[in-house]
Amino acid sequence: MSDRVEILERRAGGVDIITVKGRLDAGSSERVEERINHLLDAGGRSLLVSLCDLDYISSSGLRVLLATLKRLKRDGGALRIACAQPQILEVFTMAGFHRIFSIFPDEAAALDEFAAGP
Amino acid sequence: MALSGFNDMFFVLLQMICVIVVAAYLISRTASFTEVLERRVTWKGQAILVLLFGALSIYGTESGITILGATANVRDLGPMVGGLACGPVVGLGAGLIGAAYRFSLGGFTALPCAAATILAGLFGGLIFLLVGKKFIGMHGAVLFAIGTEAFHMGLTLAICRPLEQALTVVEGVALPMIIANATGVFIFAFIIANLITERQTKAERDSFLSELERKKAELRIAHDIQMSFLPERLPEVPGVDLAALALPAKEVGGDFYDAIPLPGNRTALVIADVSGKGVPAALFMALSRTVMRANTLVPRSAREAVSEANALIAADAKSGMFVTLFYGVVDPGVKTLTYVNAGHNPPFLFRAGGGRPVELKGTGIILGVMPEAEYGEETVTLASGDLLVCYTDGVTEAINPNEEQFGERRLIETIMGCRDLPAGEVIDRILEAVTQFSGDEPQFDDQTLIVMRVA
Repeated sequence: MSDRVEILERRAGGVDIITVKGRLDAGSSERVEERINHLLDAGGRSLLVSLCDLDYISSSGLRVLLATLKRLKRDGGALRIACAQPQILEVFTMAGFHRIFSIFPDEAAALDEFAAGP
Repeated sequence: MALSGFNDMFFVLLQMICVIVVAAYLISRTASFTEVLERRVTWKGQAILVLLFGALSIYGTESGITILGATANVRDLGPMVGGLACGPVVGLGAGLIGAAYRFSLGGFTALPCAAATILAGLFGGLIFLLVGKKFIGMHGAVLFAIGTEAFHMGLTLAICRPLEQALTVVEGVALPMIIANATGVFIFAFIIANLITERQTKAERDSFLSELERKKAELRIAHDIQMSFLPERLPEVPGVDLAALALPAKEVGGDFYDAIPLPGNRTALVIADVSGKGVPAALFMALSRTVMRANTLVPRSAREAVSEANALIAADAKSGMFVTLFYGVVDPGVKTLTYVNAGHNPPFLFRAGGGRPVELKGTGIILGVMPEAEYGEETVTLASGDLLVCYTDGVTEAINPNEEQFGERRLIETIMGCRDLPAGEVIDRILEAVTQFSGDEPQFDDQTLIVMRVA
């Protein structure tokens, strides 16, 4: 199942942007987690996870986002999520993630927030 | 042995090769040689190898073919291989034995032949040291044999007088000796190189198997932990027909359910899904289940029980562990269900009158994330014949070979097709539908169900 996820990385103004496309489930979450941890190990403290083309997220996917959030909070960084589709937002809402994550409608809005400070 | 024709020489060489093959096989399988491969140096092992390769050197002298008073032979083979494969001590020792035997026979080339044999063993040993105390490999060994024999010929020309006689001898034996020794070293090198590869492959396979064993053991432990924390059987709940099922997947060990009798004939139903896999998830499941259970024992509202459990679980949650949990208290006396849904897939409540189910949606955040999180609680009234179906996402996210999900729609349709059956049979029908849908696709996540019908 893991070949149904696509992970892209880029940087914009000191912010690491990870775009996850496809499905973030038990089969692909480990790969996504590795990529994110790799970025954080390299010293990344401002992370934007862009979900414009994410079609599906399972509890394994939620766990990866949560672990990332906890790690960044501990290290004084910030995680923002942008551009989640309605069905992803529904899962976030069901899990209560909208209360602990900074969720933005698009990447530009999220990047503006980074510019404004953590 | 006098050379009487090409055929004779061919058969003698063939005979020599057979002996070398057998010697190479036997020597390479001795305990002493194994010690060398494992880089364990013992004096006893070295002494045995010196004797074996020395004996091979004597055989090389004895089996030689005499040409014009000089002999084409494989005397240098034992010391060369001994040195290349086992180091300078074995090479030199075998060389000395071979040289002493050759020297005792006397003859025109006694001195250069004896010297060449000693040096062959010594050089072999030095190459062993030079490449990092290991066997140089097949190609290197054969080139070394050719070089050593050429050197042997040069030594004969340099030492033996008159030069004309030395030239005649070298002309006669140079090519056969180079070919015979190179062939002998090739045979040895081939067998030794194979042995080394074989041992490496075995070592890799062993470590792979033990890793596999470890993973299997971990999965078994996770599975055992999970199963030991599920209720052995459901309590008799007055006023309702209750059934539950837990089908753990191979790698994931996080679902659990519970049915806890409360005072006043009430019963708390719990269904939950812990994130993660393996032993960590199983332990987190054990912790969550115990904490949740303990918090139902103190008389308090559903909302307080879940809030308190969350605070305790959050204090222990590491690396993003969390648990989605539905907690519902059934009171058959007043026919109500009071529930807290902490981020769990909304259970379905099918009303006795028919129609689409009501979803018992979230009233708070998943457990283990925010220690101070507040949870809401909702109460629905129950009527005789109402059917409550709680499930984990392993059921709805079961996939078929086309990688489509079973989904909530199919789950609802399946239940609507058997909504009047007893709770246990509803579970059977759901399981049947999921299994049929999945086909040969392996079960990816735990599948857990609780079904309750109001009597």
